[in-house]
Amino acid sequence: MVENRFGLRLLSHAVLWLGVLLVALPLWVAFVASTQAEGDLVSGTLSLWPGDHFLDNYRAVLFGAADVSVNVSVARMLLNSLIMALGIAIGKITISLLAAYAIVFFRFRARMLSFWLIFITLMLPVEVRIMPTFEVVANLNLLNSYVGLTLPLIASATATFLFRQFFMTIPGELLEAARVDGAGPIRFLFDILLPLSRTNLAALFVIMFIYGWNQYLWPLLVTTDDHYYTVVMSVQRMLAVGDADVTWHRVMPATVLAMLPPVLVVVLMQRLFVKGLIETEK
Amino acid sequence: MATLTLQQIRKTYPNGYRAIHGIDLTVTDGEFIVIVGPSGCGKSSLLRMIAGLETISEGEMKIDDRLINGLEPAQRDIAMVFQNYALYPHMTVYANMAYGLRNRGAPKAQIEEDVQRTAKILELEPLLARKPAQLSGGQRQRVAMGRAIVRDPKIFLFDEPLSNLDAKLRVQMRLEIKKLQRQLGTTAVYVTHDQVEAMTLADRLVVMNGGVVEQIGTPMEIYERPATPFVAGFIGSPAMNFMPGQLHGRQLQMGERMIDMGLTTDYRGSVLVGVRPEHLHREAGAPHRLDMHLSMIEPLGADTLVYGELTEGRENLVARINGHFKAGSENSMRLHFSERDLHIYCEQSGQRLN
Ligand SMILES: Nc1ncnc2c1ncn2[C@@H]1O[C@H](COP(=O)(O)OP(=O)(O)O)[C@@H](O)[C@H]1O
Ligand SMILES: [Mg+2]
Repeated sequence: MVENRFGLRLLSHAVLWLGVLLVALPLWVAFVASTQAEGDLVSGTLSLWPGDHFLDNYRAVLFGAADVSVNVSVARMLLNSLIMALGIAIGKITISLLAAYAIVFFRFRARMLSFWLIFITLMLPVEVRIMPTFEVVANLNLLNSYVGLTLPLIASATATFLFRQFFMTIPGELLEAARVDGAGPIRFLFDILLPLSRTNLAALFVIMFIYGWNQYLWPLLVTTDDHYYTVVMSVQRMLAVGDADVTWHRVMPATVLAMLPPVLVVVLMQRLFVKGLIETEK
Repeated sequence: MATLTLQQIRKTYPNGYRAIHGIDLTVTDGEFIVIVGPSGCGKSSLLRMIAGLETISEGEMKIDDRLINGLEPAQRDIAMVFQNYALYPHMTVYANMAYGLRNRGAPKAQIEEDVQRTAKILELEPLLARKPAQLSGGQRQRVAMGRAIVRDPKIFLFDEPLSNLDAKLRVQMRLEIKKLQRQLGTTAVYVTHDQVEAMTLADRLVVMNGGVVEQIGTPMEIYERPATPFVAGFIGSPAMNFMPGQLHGRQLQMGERMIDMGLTTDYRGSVLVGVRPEHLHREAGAPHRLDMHLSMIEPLGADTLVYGELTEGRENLVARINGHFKAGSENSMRLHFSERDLHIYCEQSGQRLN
């Protein structure tokens, strides 16, 4: 029995390590590639150890123009991406929180109709409505602007639905106690509902931030001015060089830099929502 | 210092269900009113209308001389203790108690003073920094009480506040609520389906059934002269025994038996005769008697409950016999009662006739 169990443990560890390797290896390769000198990568021999061009490569893309085809620094792209991701995450959370608040806690005439209208849009992802949305944004002169980048992606049926489900678990007595205590709708929202939703807010923020950060098609469509390029779409631009050689020593540092902020957000927020999960207070 | 007046209060829910059918009630200053009735009879609906959590469909409701029909709960100057306590889970005990005061814009020093004083009364001082999740059921109950008391409201409202506690704690909290209410002199309306709670807490009792008030009176009035068969059967444990009878003016006929009730009513016809289990005696002191077949015996220690059937009519019967009762080989027993302990109701209208 004991040997058997030991064998099983060995096996599960092996499987897990294999998984870690599978996931980590491409990341490592990307990092290694980002530290090689120009031309080292196309020469065909891929080293598994970092080269000595780390600082040169990163400084070049961060502060200079990223590439011949993309005339803006990666620092600027990161800023653009950050603005877009934050705008989408915060916007989505605000809008869907308020929508769910209205649907769950207020009795108005078109309540169920509103809910179903929102719910139905779940079935229409951005890609499906991309042409009409583009048309609208273009007519409003919002091409090449942060508003144009974020606003059309903010409406979120998913988040509204999740908040609705959570709000419905809040006991009616709590709302009534707050009413007796003289809390109006705004106070109830800020003093009671928001603190209780902390965990959900953190989780949704992470999901929505990454969703916003990884947007590719939409920024590609609405930006033609290099100064509004986001980092994810730019990496693709840097690869689309036609017959010329891909400048790997620039693409790879940009790629690695593009991955960092989402990782940072997950790591930071994870602590918050794990803490929230441990201290269940219901 | 407040009186509460209800005039022809009715409640119809949006789905058309009529929960309350016209209730009149005057609660005097400092009085402890208990509304009691079976589940679903509309007690909570009535209390929630007083609180302002449900709209009043018809009728007038006043606190002192102010019409409160259209007022928000917070404007009515009431405080409510909920069945599940409804404490704010993310706030400390202190913040829970301070929340209502804060919303009123009371100055910080005043809030601090009020919360500390209330915490002292309820012995909550060591718990002020804790969150509700770190409290026991009894402690949460006290915090809920504290949250109500701290605002010094005109009226306390309680909706079955003890039903989530275990039996021992319930007795203890019951005494405490009563003591506190006396000490503070605040008018209170308390809803329960538990008749022991109702009897022990109430200055006056409101017995409800199916959205109407069956009787209002002091606990002893209601115990001694229940106005309807429903009240007679609902208050008292075990429930009152009922037997059929015929009333001929002052004479009551039960089976072969004629009992002179000395009544002045000229009603003649079928009646329902009630007698409480504790008013059936083994000793031959009382003038009338009946025989029952025994079916089961429950010793309670101080008393013994004897279950069986009336020999003549086959109605089920319960008697509460003083002391220890040892069933012999006989399977029937003779019980004595006095006509003073009978409750007589018209069979059709349910009206009390004696
Ligand atoms: N919001 C509502 N809509 C429709 N009917 C309701 C509503 N609330 C309560 N009722 C009905 O009203 C009746 C009385 O309910 P309630 O006052 O809660 O009774 P109790 O507190 O005495 O148990 C019940 O039959 C219940 O089903
Ligand atoms: Mg109820």
